[in-house]
Parts: sequence; structure tokens; C-alpha cells
Amino acid sequence: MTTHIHLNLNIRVLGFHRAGWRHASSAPKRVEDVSFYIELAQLAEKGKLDAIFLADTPVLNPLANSRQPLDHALEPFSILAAIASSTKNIGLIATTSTTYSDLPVAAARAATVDYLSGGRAGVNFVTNAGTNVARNFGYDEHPEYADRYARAEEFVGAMLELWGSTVKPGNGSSKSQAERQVRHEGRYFNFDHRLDIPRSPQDRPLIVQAGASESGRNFAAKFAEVIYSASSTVENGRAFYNDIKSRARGFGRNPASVRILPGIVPFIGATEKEARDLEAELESLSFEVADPIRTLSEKLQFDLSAYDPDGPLPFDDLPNESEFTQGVTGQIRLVNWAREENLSIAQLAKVSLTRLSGVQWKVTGTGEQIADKLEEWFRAGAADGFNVLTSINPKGVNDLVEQVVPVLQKRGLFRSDYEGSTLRDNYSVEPALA
Amino acid sequence: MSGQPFYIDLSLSTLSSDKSQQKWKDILSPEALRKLAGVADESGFDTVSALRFGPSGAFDGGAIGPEGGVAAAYLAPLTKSVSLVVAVDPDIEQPYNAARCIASLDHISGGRAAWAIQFRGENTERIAEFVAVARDLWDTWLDDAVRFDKATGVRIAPGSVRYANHVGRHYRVRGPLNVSRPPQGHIPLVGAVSSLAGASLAGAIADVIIVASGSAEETKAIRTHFRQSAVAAGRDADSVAVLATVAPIFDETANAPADRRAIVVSGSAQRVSQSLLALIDGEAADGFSILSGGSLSGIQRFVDDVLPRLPGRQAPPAAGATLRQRYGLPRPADRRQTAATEVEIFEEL
Repeated sequence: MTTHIHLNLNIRVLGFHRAGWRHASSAPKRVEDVSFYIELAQLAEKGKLDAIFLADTPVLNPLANSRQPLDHALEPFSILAAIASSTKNIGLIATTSTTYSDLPVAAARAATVDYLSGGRAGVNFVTNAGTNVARNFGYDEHPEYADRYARAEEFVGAMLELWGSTVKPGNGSSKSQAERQVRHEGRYFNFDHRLDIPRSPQDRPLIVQAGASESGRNFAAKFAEVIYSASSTVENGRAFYNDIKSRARGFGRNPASVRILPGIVPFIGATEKEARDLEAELESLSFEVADPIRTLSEKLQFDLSAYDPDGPLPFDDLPNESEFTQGVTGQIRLVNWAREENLSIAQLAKVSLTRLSGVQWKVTGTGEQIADKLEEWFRAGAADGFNVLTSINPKGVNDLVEQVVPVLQKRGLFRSDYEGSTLRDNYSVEPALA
Repeated sequence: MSGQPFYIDLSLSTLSSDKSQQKWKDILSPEALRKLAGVADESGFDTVSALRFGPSGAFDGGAIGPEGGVAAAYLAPLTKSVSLVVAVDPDIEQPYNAARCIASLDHISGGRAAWAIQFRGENTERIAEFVAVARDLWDTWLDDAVRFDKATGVRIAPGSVRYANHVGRHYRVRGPLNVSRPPQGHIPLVGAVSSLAGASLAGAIADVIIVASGSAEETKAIRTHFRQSAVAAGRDADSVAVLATVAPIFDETANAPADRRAIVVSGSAQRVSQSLLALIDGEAADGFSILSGGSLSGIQRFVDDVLPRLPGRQAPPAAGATLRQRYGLPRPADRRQTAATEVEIFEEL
């Protein structure tokens, strides 16, 4: 366990509540306005948060009501670069697709954010899912699940090799072009390349990962320095935490250099009533989905229209983990909800819309009450910190910084100033191996 | 654009020979990068460019520096007027990713983005298709598609986003792009050209070319061929422009080193400006890409002593002007007029 809580802000301009953008205080028209991202990052830095985080997927998904168009509009490393020049300490993490990114370009872009920000970058690696995204890149179908993780593993390894080819400062010690050249011949990638980019003060970006499946957990435990989880209770949080740390040990890593951050959606108010009213108001702004069971069928990749809506999910007929071609983590979560909470198909369809973007763990209350929950998870060994998903912006970020952070600081659970200048310093993880 | 006021670009390319690249002091620090771009922004340069095309260094000699697209996004909020030219390499990038990155920069900079592709006279069919796909992806959104109307709950105007459904010899891309239509509609395309062969395709699809050549004669020949190619493609030769790459050296005595990628103009500020004007008068160029060599003092000297001696130069760009406005290029209309039956509309699930 780390000595204090780490906090990430997951920025989605439109908010993580599906009706967050309709709240009177929200600014949805700024969804492609980089200055809004800069303002949110500066707020987070004022609150001494470890990092901001940007999810991403290179596709415009069909406009299901639980998802917003333009949630992933501006290319995320461009956003980080724009934020870098107006912040000093906060970490800058963005997502890259191990399935569809152009590897040498993605490596160069991440290394450049790391260099220009003075060593504050991190990269979240995701395997991408679904035929919609595949069709933007010349494929009809999405690569099989097992294939996707094998490719992801080679992608990360190759990116580490490329990051090793950046140019170190100093006379005499630097390597020649030929010595830096990387020749990679693998199953998925072949290249002869090097990064003619100056090396950052933290050597290379941190590696971030989120994955709930068996392959995802191994992948995370092997490579990641920061791991996002979708735990929903202290118990399953602790189980995930212990599982990842022991897998990391199994890969010969120091488990203390793997930070585990469950996602949390807080609804914050000056009083408990104010927080509950906010949540109720957002629910009242949510509009109906025409056919929730059809939307659920899409998410599960299984047509549920012939089944009794008031009956249970046909667990035995559903595709198993290796057959899903879409994001596995979300499907596992849905199936687990149905099983653990004994939900009918209709109930699951409703819950899959109202639980925030498939998240996880929601807390409603005052700054003190939310701090209580964070402290409970932290002391119980279920988390090294938290990835905060605000339901609305900028109010949610303001409330986090003004109402939750000071309580944690007073309890000695959160920093009152940054320890150093790099993202590695913020998370207090060991230096990268040279 | 020819025959009109001429255009000036500041190249961020640093010193590039194998020897010099090992010296850390030659490498642009983030602070030096900000200062260089600041000088360009305040003194009326039309563009700054970071033309690095992969590690082969064919265009910049393998100089050390930041990746151009990220560097441009870093500089965009720090600048107001100057536009940002970013290299795209179809050899290692897919059109969806490239179109998205460049469109993002155009949004971030308020219409001050340009993209550059190296034209070598090879793979011309693939490069032409790559450019066409990117432009088609930018057209998958109508200009006023984004609504997010709180009262009605409408997020995207119905019928205003379509699939690209591109199926070509080299690429299959369905779209739509996940970024709305960029401020400039189609983002200006800069060709990086160092041969006659490269000028042919550039003439058909590029708005501006930057010529990397150490010779005024060769630059002029490339310009002539580029303009002819533009006319052959049904374009007005005066709607395109050629920037000669120039390395100014303010040293009256030293022998200026030859450079195969830039015309070296040396001597007093007066001589340097005379040499530049001679390139315009001799119809070798419509403007210049000035090699900074990463040297702030050199650029400051150029700004203080040479720019005022160039009477044909564009007035400094007004804050908020797009690069298209700067270049006098009309903004392509969106695809509103395309009959609805001919396109597949992207709709709510």
C-alpha cells in the first residue's frame, strides 16, 4: 500500500452521467474546445491531483443514449500537448489503441508529450473492440479476442523498444543513429525505425492499463505502472487488488510499483440532500431509450428479443469471454450484475443504461462522506487511489477539488503539494529500467 | 497566390548533420520551441513548420526534435496568428488516424492547421487516395451538425452526419470521422518537394509546396513544373504557391556552407533581403521557408533587419484568421447539396 491516496481525474467534457450535458451548469457546446480541457486540468492541478486521464476510441459509435457523440473527438495526445504548456505538475495520460494506432507514430507522439511536459506523460493501452471501429481501418470484422491481446502485448513491447531509442542528453554518452536503430520483427509488427526525439526527464511515459478479463489482468500485471479497475465493492476491490499485486510479483515486479485505482463516480453536495438532489435532477433529465433490450442485445452481442423480459439472462447461451469481439470488460460487468443481483433481462437493460457508462462505483454525499468511503477502501487494501469520473463538468471537478480534496488533506491522506515534477514522482513508482 | 504578396514560413527543423545532432545544445528545448514560435507569431510569419517524415530524414536530414503534430498542438494555445504545418507520412500512418489528428489541430488552433506530405514521385496513386480519404472524412459532418441543445435533448442535427464508405484500391474506410468538420473545411495541404517528379502529383492536389533544394535554378524548375501540373489538373496556377527553403547566414566574411536542402543566402541583412527578392523577381519562388536552425538570435536578426526590407510581404495575419483566409483560398462548402439518396446517413441507434 502506498503512503497516501492517489487521485486521477478522468476528463469527459460531457460528463459521465448520460444526462450530465443537459445540466444547467454544463457546457456541452465546448465538447471540442481545447481551452475547456485546459481549464479542467488547471482545476485538477490546483487540487494537487496526480494526473488527468483521457479515454479514447477511434470511431464514432452509433448514438446510443447511454453514449454521447464526440465523447472522443479531439485526438487525445493533441489535447495533452495543449494542456502541457499551461500546467506544471499534473500528469497527462491518454489512451492509445493497440489494435488500430500506427505504432511508430503513436510512440513518437507519446514520447513528445513526455518530453515537452517535462516528464509528465502516461499511456493507457487498450485493445479496441467492435466492427464499427474495424471498418475505419480496412477490416470487416474485429480481430478475435485472443489475437487482440497477443497483438497488444507485442505492441507494448515494441513501443518500449522505440522509447528506448530516444536521444539522451549529454556529450559522449549519447548513442549514434545506428546504435539507436530498432529492428523489430514480430508476428504483428515489422519495422526498422528509431525515434529522433529528445528523451524526457522520466525516460519514458508511464504505462497504464485497465482490463478485467484473464488476459487483461495478466497484461496489466506484466506491464502497467498504473491500473484502473471497475470494482464496485470493498470486497471485490480487495480481491482484484490482491490478484493483480500477486500476478505482478509473479512477473518479477515490485508490487509497490503497480498502482491500482478503481473508478468512482461521486455526486457531491454541500449537504447530503444537495448531493441527492443533484443525482435526482440528472436522472430526471435523462431521456428514454426506445428499446432498452435491443440496446442491451447490442452490448452483449446476443439477441435477447425472443426471451422473456421478466426472466433471467440465458447465461448458458451467451457468448463466452473468448467469443466476444467487442469490449470484454463491459460485457463481463453486465453479466456479473445480472448474476450477482439476480436481475431480469428488463432490469438489466434498465440498469445498463442508468449505471454510469457501465461504471462501477457511485458515491453520493458531502465531501466528508465521500472522503470516508475513499478512506475505507484505501485502508481496507482495495485501492492505492481512485480514478474520478465526474458526472458533470466543470461543477463536478470544482466540487471534487473544493470539497473532497481538503478533507483528505486534513486527514493526512492526500498531498498538500507535489513531491516532484514528473508523473513517476506523483505516483511514487520506481524509475523505468534503462 | 502568385503575383500577390508573398508568404513566409519558419522551419523549426534544427541542425541536421550527423555530427551536430549529437550535441544536446542543438536540440530544441521546450522553452526554445515556445520562443521561436512566439517570434514567428508576433512578427507576421504565415506559418511555422515541423517537416519530419519518419527516421529516414530524407527531408530534414534526421534532425532531433519533437514529433510535429504534438509540437503543433503544444504551440497552438500559445500563439494567436501564425499557422502550424504538420508532417503526415502515408508510409506509416492510416488515413483515419491522420485525418483525425489534423482535424483536431485545426479545432485546437481555430483554423490555423496545415498538413504536409512528402511528394517524391513514388506511390503517387496511394498518396492521392490517402489525401482523398482524409478530405472525404472531413466531409462526413455538415458544418452545423453539432447541437447539444439542452432543452430538446438533440445532440447532433438529424441527417447531418454520413458515412464515408470509401472503397479504393489502397484503403477501405467507413467513417464517419469522430471529430466534427474542421474550421477550415478542408485543411490546406503543403507538399514537401525536392524533385521534378514530386511536383507532378503536388500540382494536382497540394495548395502550397515547400521546395527543399540548394539551388535557385532547380527551385525555379520545380516551380514551373508544379504550376504546369496544377493547370493540367484543371487548377489556376496562381491559386498555388511555392516556398523556397532558405538558410540565411548573417556573416560577411565566412564562406557560407553549401546545403543540398536549402538555398544559402549570406551576408549583410541588405544582401540577404536582396537575394530573397531576386528569387521572387526571378520567378523561382512565391515565398520562403526560413530554416531557423533552432537559433533564436538568427531568427530575431532576420525579423529585425530583413523582414522590413521585403516590401512584398503579406501584412501580419490578423488574430483569428484561418490559414485559408491567409492564403486567399476559398473554404470548401460542406456536402449539404449531396442528394440524401446517394449517401448512407449515420443515425441514432
